[in-house]
Amino acid sequence: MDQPKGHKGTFVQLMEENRGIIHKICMMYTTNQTDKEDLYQEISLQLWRSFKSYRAESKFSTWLYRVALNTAISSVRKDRKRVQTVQLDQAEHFAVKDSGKEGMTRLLFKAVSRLNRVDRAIILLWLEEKEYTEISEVMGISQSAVSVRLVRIREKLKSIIKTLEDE
Amino acid sequence: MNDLRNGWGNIDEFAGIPGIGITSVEKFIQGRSLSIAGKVRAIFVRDFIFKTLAYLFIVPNLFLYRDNQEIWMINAILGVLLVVFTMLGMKFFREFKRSADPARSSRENLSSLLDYLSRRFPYAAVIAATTYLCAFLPGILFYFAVAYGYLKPFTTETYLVYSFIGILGTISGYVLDIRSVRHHVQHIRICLSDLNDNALALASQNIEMKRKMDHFIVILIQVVILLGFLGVIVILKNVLT
Repeated sequence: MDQPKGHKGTFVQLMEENRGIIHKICMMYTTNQTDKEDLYQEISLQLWRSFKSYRAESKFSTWLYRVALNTAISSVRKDRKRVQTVQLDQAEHFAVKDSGKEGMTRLLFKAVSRLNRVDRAIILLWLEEKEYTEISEVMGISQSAVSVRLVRIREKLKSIIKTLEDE
Repeated sequence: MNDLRNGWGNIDEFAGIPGIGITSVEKFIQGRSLSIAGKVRAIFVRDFIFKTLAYLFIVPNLFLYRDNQEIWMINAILGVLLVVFTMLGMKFFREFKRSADPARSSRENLSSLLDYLSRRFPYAAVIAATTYLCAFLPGILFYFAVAYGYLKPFTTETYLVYSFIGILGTISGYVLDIRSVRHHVQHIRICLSDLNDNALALASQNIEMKRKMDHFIVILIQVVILLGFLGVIVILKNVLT
C-alpha cells in the first residue's frame, strides 16, 4: 500500500477497510460488548495518533497490527463501579457466517480467552495466516521463537479445548 | 488446528460494528483512554492544567504586589521556577511520547514503556507534584490581594496549617501518581515475561543499573524542593512580622 496521506479522510477510509481486523482483535481481548467498544475506540485513537508518523517503512498491515495489538496488550479495564454491566460469555459477542460452525467458533474464543495477552496476539496473527516473518516483526521476537511459541500455544489451546469439551 | 483457522475465517467480521466517520475520529480524540499510555498521558495533561492555573495566579500577583518588594520577589522566583518546571514537564512529555510509540514491535514498545515508567516517570512526578506548591502559594497570595487588597498578617497556626496543606498536597500528589504507575509497571512486566523470559530479564537489567542512582537523585530533589518551600514560608513570615 502507498504511504497514506495525513488526512482524516484517508484515515477513515483505511479504518473502513481494516475494521474487520480491529474488530477481531477487540473480541480477543474483551469479555463483553461495552469493553469491546471501549477497546475499539482506544485502538482507533492510537491508530489516528500514530497515523501521522506512518512512513511506509513496513507493510501497512504490519503497522496496523503493531499499533492495535500493542494497544490491546497494554489496555487496562475501566473501573465500572457506577455502571453495572452484564458480563457476557466472551464467545457471545460475535456472529458467524455459517451457523453450522458456530459451536466450533465459540469454543475457539472460549479457549483463546484463557491464554495470556501475548499468546493471544501471536495466535491471532497465526489465525490471520500471517507469515512467521510478519509475526516476528509485529511481536519483536525471532522467527525461531515464533515457531516454538506457536507450537506451545497450539498445544495449550488443544488442551484447553479438550477440557472445555469435557465440561 | 486447521479447524480453528476455518472457524476463525468463518467469523462475520462486520457484525455489530458501525463504520466510523470524521465525527467519530473527533470523538475518539476527546474520549477517555484506557491504555497505559493514555492513562500516563492524562497525568501529564492534569499537570499542564495545574501549571496553567499557577501562571494565572502568579502573573496577576506580580501586578497586585508591585508595591511590596519581598512578596513580588517571591512571586517572581516562583514564576521563574514554574517556567523551568514547564520546560522540564514538556521535556518529560516528549520523552514519554517517544517511549509510548505503539508503532514499534510489542517487545520494543513494552520495554521502552517499562524503562520510562520505572526510571524517568519519578522525575516527571516530582515536577508535577511541585507544581502544586507553585499554584498553592501564589493562589493564597492572589486570594488575599483580591479579597482584602493586602496580605493579612498570619498567625503561627496559619503558617503551620498552610505549610501542612502545601506539603501534604505535594507529597500525596507524588505518591498517588507513583502508585498508579506502579500498577501499570506490574502489568507491563507480566506481558514482557509472557513475551519472552529474556525480554524481561534484559529490560530489568538495563533499568536496575540506573535505577538506584535515579532513586537517590529523586529523593534529593524532593528534599531540596520541600526545604525551598519551607524557606519561602519563613521569608513570608519575616516579611509579615
